[in-house]
Amino acid sequence: MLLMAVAIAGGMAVWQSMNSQAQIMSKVSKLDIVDVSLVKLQVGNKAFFSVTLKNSGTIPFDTIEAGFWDDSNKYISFVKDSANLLPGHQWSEDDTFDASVMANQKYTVKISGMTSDGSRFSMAKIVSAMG
Amino acid sequence: MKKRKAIGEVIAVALLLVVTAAVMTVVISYSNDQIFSERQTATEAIEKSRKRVAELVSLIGISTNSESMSVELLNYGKEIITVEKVMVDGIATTFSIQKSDGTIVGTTLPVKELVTIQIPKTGKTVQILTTAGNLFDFST
Repeated sequence: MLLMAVAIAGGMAVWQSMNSQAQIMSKVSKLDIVDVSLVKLQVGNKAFFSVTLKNSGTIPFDTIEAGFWDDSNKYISFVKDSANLLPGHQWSEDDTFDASVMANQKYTVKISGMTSDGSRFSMAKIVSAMG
Repeated sequence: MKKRKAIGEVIAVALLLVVTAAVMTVVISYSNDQIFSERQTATEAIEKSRKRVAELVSLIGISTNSESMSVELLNYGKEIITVEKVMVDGIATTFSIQKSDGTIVGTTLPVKELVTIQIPKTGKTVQILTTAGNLFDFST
């Protein structure tokens, strides 16, 4: 009987531990780039920047940012506060900016976000400018 | 005594099996979620890229007067193109699209039909952004 009690108690402890591990493992903060493009416009020093992100994690994102550095090292970005981007949902933004960009040159695009539980996610991607 | 020991071993084995099954379930479920999510995003990215490549537009001409411009275009692709935004020198503006017979077609460029985009503004360049994410940049 004592052995059985010990075994059951041990089993319950292991089960609880597994459950908490499973909850931790199931919390994923991740943004995927569905699409990103950078186009040098024919007029002046202007560039068109567009980005589509998807929350492929399991926690909503509260803040999202997507930006790039132009030739003069100026950081140009979209920032979305109070985004509430739910898991599986997408967020798109596009606009033209005063930026020094050359066609066929590569630029670093930075993506970052903060989830509702305070976790931070960030990634970078190299994008070739079109134009 | 022997019988009690045997029961204890059976329970121990059963518990081990339960724990192993629980661990495997968690790991497999986590891996599946990750793989499925990444596959879905890749599919969406490919589909967006496919739509973008399928959009083929030819500029027939641009006529400008003092306060407005008319951009004549031909969609020579196989799919209807939806215009999301029209910009003049990078600044978004209002627009209307009409066929050569004057019919207003909303925001779409029908397949293999000449259309004219009327823009109540003038500038050096015109940018047309489609819902697939293509940006056509024309110089006036």
